[in-house]
Amino acid sequence: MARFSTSQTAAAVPLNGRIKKRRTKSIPLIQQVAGADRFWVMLFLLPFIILYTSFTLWPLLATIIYSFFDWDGNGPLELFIRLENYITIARDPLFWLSFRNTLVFALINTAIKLPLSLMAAILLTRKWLWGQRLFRTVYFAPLVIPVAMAGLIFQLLLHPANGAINDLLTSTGLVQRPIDFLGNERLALLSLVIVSVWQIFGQYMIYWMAALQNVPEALYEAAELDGAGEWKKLVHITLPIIRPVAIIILFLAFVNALKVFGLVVTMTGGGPGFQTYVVPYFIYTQALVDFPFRYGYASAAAVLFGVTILLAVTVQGYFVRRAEADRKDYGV
Amino acid sequence: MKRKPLLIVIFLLIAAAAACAPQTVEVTRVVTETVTEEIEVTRVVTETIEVEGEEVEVTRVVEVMTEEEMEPVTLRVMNWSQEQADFYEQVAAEFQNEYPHITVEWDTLEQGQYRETLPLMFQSGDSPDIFFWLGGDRVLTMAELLDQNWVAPMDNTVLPDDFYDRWPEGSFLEGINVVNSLPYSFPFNDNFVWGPGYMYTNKDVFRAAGLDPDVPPTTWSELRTTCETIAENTDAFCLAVPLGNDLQRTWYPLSGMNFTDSFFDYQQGRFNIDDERQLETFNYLQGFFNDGLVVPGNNDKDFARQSMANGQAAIYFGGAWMPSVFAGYEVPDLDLGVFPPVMPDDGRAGSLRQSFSENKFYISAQSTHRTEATLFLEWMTRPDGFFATEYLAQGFGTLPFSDMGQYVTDEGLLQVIDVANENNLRVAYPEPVVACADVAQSKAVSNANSLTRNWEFIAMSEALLNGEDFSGTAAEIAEAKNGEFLTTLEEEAAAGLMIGVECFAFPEWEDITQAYDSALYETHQMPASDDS
Repeated sequence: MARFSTSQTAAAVPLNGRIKKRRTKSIPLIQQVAGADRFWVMLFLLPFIILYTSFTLWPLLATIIYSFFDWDGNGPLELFIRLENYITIARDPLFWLSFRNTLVFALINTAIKLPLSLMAAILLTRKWLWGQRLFRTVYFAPLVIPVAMAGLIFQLLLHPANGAINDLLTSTGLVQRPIDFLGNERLALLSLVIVSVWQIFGQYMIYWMAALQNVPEALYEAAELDGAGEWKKLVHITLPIIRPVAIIILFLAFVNALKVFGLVVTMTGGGPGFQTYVVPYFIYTQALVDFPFRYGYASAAAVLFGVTILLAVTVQGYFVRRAEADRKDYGV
Repeated sequence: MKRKPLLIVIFLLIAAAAACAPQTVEVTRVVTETVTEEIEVTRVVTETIEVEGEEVEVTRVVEVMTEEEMEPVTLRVMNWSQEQADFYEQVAAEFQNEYPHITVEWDTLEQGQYRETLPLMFQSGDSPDIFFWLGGDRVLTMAELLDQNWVAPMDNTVLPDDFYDRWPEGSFLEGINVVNSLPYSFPFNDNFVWGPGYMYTNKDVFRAAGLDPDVPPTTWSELRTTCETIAENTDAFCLAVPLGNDLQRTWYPLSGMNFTDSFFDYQQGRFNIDDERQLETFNYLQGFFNDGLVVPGNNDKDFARQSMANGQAAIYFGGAWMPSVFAGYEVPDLDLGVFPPVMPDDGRAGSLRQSFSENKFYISAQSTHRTEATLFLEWMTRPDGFFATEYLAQGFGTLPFSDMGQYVTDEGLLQVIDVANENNLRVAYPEPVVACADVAQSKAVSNANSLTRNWEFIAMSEALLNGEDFSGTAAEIAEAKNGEFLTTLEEEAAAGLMIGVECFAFPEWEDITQAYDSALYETHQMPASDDS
């Protein structure tokens, strides 16, 4: 027999026409469990705690520690240099160029992939559409190709001398001279964005489809009775109801895009020049490519970048809470 | 207390019983036979070590074990010459014939992959026993590796007395491949033929363009005219130029004949990408890009080489190793031409740097088989041994510890040697560490280069691809690097190092096409010490 103690729950009490939420003191789970149950709870939590500590907490802590040392990644940590790595990074134009490129990449990537994948999801959830499974598979297929392989394939496809895409463009007369998609400083980052969208598109389509399934069918039926068309149903029912999930998807998409790395390595190597340097690639080159290695410096860059992501996640939390409150107005 | 006499009695009884027990007597028949065999059980080793600045000769006796006494050992060797992988398997087998207790596992990776993998192996404590490495500054590579705690010295006790005689005199220098009289590495390739700076042509493309493939362009203008002819008469591009850090393969021969293949000016002691001669070379190269004479794209060296080998381009500038690389591409019909690089129209005004150090193989500080690793390196560098003779015969490169004239038979490598000998492309540059020993401890150059790695090549690549003016970026790079260089020098001098910009500036070296020899070192002005 489980011997769970009763816990206090939040209650909504009408007061002078307003809803006031009474804050209750939450009791930690472990205190809600007594005796042998407490042992089992701990036992089942143990694998997660070990894995989380080993592969998340410790690397995070180690990165912060390394960032205060002049360390090449080999041998003991000896040269404590306080904030020198951070001061150097603050003055490193390549880091800030990488930072800017990362943000630009993430913003454009998110701005393209989310509306596209939402449209595809809406289409693929229409009952009248023939071949839904086929389309889902086609859209999802690029996701199973490893990033490195996708990068190499597109490097070949986009090549100005031998690439199939340039062959197509020149043979159809759309362009006179081949376009150097990955060598042109204005096109290189955009090319990375498009390849990235192509690859990840299916994943977000699935997210949107899951969100759309939460919209009660009764609302659509009621709207139809009132004479609403597809557009009005989308704007006044679908989008408001999926808004909390949409915000989560939006920030998830943005944060994931900030971590772009594999495509840069395989398609451009940060080039032309430094035009497609992104922060993860910057960290990688400092720590593991350019000899002698600067592990401490790379760690400081990683910490700064991590703080940026943390800020994005914090903002996400705020908007999700707001959207959830708004959704309650719809009674769902 | 009464038990004590009883115990004594029992003990005496047991002792008496044991004494009366029947005994087995072993009878040994001795057969006398005289066997004369000289077995080296000890060896006297004399070495010189430095104690508090003074050289002291130390003699010690080391025990020599027989083959049977030795534990089986597996040596891991790694380098980045993938096209030579089959040869290394043969090397491992041959070595084991002589040293049955040592198994050699030789792994080769692609160069870029190798440079990324090896550091990770060191970080995880899983480095190979012997590794191949070239630092940014070859002369300071050993100092860098020592600083990283990657290298251990060779085991002097197993080296034969004539080991050092295999190389030309002056090949082993304190601070470059020797520390406290202990060798850490050895010149692997020669420093006259080996290196960048050759012009490779696909003769079929020349023929298709109506050009004589045996009469290559020799000047900047001739190369330009040749390229225009190829563009007019064929579908091929003229030049295959790799970009990013790989741009060095094209840059070195062009800039080396106009000024220097280094981004450091050893006459003035400053970073020189903003020098008008460097900009002149850049503008010359950019003209080929702007006029569509170069294989388009942000290509790496492998793509550029393949382009030349398969006839998509006519010319590729590369190092002495290219004949063996092209052989690995399995393009049997490739009719390869090897020529010297083109000179500026008004004559040669510079030279390629004759590297002071071709030290490439090192023993890992993490290795627990330092003696066996030394045995292998000793075996590998025998002048008439399997490694040297086969390495040269298969045209993989040049070796300073063997007779190249006797063993090189590869047509491509023979052409490379001829070009080097006839054109004297490389001369000895002044070496700061020879002028000032404390340069080995200085971070001035490496700090400047660390501002942004391969900055010059990457920035030039961007400007080449996008047709941009490079002079502003060049000035920015030079200013940043020289600023960091001078600041670090000042800090190091203040910290007590005997160092200054004089260690890096050799104004007495007036003609860059001539070697900076020992006589010039004697005239070199050293930095003033605080005591003077």
